[in-house]
Amino acid sequence: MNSRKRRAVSGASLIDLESAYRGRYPDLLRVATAIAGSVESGRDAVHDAFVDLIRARRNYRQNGHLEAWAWAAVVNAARKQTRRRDSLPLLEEALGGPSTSEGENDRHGAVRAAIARLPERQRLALFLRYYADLDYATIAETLGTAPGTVAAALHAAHETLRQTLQEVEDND
Amino acid sequence: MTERNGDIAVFLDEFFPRRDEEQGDWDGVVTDAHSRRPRTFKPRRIVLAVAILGVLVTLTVVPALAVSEGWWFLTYDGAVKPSGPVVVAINPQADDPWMLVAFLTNSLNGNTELCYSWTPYNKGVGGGAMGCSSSAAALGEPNLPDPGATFATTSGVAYGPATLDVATVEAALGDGSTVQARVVTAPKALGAPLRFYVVRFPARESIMRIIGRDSEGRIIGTITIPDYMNVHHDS
Repeated sequence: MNSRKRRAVSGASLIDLESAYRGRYPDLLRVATAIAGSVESGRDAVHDAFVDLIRARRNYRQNGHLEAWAWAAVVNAARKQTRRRDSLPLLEEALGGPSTSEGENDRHGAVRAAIARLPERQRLALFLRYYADLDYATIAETLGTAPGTVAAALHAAHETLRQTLQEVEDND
Repeated sequence: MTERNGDIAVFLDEFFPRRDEEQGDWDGVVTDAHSRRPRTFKPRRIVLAVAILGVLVTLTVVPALAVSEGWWFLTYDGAVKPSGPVVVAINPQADDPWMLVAFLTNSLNGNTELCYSWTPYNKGVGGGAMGCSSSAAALGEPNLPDPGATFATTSGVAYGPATLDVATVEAALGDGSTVQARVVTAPKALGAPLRFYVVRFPARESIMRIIGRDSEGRIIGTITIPDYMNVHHDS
């Protein structure tokens, strides 16, 4: 999936999908985990997404990128995982990480809370940008929106998180 | 090319570190893709489908078994098994196709009743009517009860049972004209020695009387139609 594959013809081969899976699995898992809220749910989401992709591969007729098609499936599967638990992931708990000091705890906690409060589109764009290193065009195709919208969403997310960090530092 | 913020990247890396040691289970994905039920068929849809199936089974199989087996909860004192619906007459003409069906049933007080329905089956045409009456309430019987129990009518049609003595039936309309009815003998499967008549008339007209005559033209029964039973449709 590192090389973007344009498909004007219908169908996606099993080899293409296997290549996408094996080549980006850690990133797929990371994004799915971030959305679903736990590693276990993330694994299930990636698994389910590729099961669906294999079954639907003959219906793939997009003139877009196979990569974005696969990412969209993973994002949707991860979002389904959150719905199966009847609530949005408690990101403030899920986004846990090692902290070394009280001040560090404050910064982590503030950023965790800020990410959890982001609108979903901003949060998804953030995860795809930072965890999968996707460019704006691919993120836009994945989320079914325009690149300009992705740029605006990421800009807004950055501003929110910058302000959060600034407030924490001002309070220290 | 696209914006990434270093501080944010550091935080996000700490929140969900990349798990390079995990490589997934491609073989398991392929196996599931070829063996598991389609995931597009959501559990909620399965529950809904099962619920609908259950309702259909309840509405069809249980009453059928209850009738055939005589289960106590669908029977009452003095009840007899009803006859199945019998097609008495069909008018296959393309410009006015209709069907007359009749069957015997039991009323709640245990009396046998005759039910009959007339239904058009022209494409795009709705309507139809059904009536039930005491089996003795047929045109030609002496001392007919309430006329509403001896025939049925809806826009442009009147029909009902008649005794075997009735050879012809005519309808007197509100404009003074008369229309001849079609008269047929009910099949033996109905279980009642009766004839039926069906008279068609312009939907805009009222029907005033239904007159039954014997084979010699003598009037042997008349039903006077109350005005409130007329269904008018201007056409």
